[in-house]
Amino acid sequence: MAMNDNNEYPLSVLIVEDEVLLAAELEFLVEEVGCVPVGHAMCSEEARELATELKPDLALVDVHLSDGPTGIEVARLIANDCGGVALFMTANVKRLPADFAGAVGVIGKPYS
Amino acid sequence: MDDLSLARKTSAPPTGRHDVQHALEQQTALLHEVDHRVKNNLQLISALLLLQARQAREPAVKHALKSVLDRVNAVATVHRRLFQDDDVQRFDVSAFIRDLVSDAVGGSGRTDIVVRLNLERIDIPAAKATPLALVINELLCNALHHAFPDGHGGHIDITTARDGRDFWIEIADDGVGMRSGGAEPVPCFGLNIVRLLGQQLRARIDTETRGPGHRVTVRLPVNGVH
Repeated sequence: MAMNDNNEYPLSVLIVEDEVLLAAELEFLVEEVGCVPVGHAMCSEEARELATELKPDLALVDVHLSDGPTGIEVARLIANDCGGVALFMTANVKRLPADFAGAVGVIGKPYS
Repeated sequence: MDDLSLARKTSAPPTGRHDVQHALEQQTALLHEVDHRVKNNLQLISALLLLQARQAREPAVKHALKSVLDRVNAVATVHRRLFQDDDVQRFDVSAFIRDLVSDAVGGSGRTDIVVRLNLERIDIPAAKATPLALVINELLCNALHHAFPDGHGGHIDITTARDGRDFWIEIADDGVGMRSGGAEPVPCFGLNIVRLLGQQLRARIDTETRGPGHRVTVRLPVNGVH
C-alpha cells in the first residue's frame, strides 16, 4: 500500500500468466504495492482481448502461455497498440528477443 | 584392397566434429530445460506459501508460513544467481546479499530500518551457496523481525571481508538485542538452522549482545578448514 499513497490514481495492471497460482501470487504482490490488478489472461487470445478492452497501464507478461511461447507477441501488441507498458516475467531471460518486443524490461523468475 | 581399409572407408568415426557439436547442443538444451523447470517450481512453491500465509487467521501460523517463504525465496535467489552468471561453480556471496537485502527489506515494509552494506567480494564453491544463503537469511530476518519491535527503527550493518584463511560475514543491529526472560522466547527454529548449517559449513559463529544491539559473526574457512 505504501508505494502509491501519494498518487492520484493507482496503476492498473493486467496479468498474463498461464499458471493460475503464480497469477494469484502476482495479483497479491501487485495489490501490496498499491496497484490495481484489472484482469488475468492465460493465453494470447485472451490477453489480446483484455488488453484492447481494458487498456491497462502495465502488463506483466509470462513468455510461455497456455498456447505456447506467445507472450512475446502479446507484449508487442500491448506496447504498440494499447498504449501500455509491458514487462516480461520469465525464468528464461536469455530467450527474449534483442528488442524485448517493445517491453520495457524483464523480471527474472523466481521473483519474490 | 584389404578388408581393413574398406572398413575404414565405409564407417565414419562415431565421434566426428559434427556429432560432438550436436551432442553438446542437446546437453545445453536439456540443462536449460531443467533450469527453467526448477525456477518455475520454486516460484510455484513460493506462490503456495504466500497464498496460504495470506489466508491464515492465526498470527503464529501466518508468521510460520512467512518465515518458510523467506527461506524458499533465499534458496530461489541462490538458484537464480548461479544460473544467471556463466560460472555455475562459484557463488558470489556479496551479490547474493544485495539481492536478499532488497527483497527482505522491501518485503518487510519497514522503511524505518536502514540496512548499510559494506561488502567485499567473496566467492565460495557453489556447493556451499545454499547453506550459507540460508544462514544469512536467518540472521537478517532475525534482525528485521525481532531487533526493532513496536515501530522503533534503527540500523542493520552487513559486512563481508576476507582476512587470511577466513571469510567473514557480520550482521549487526542496534536494536533491542536478544530479550532474556521475556514472555516471547527467542525464535528457536531459525537459530537451530543457523547452528546446524554452521556445522555443515565448518563455520565458526560468534554471537555478541552489546549495549544496544546484537552482532553475529560467521567465519568461514577459505579452504574448508580453519
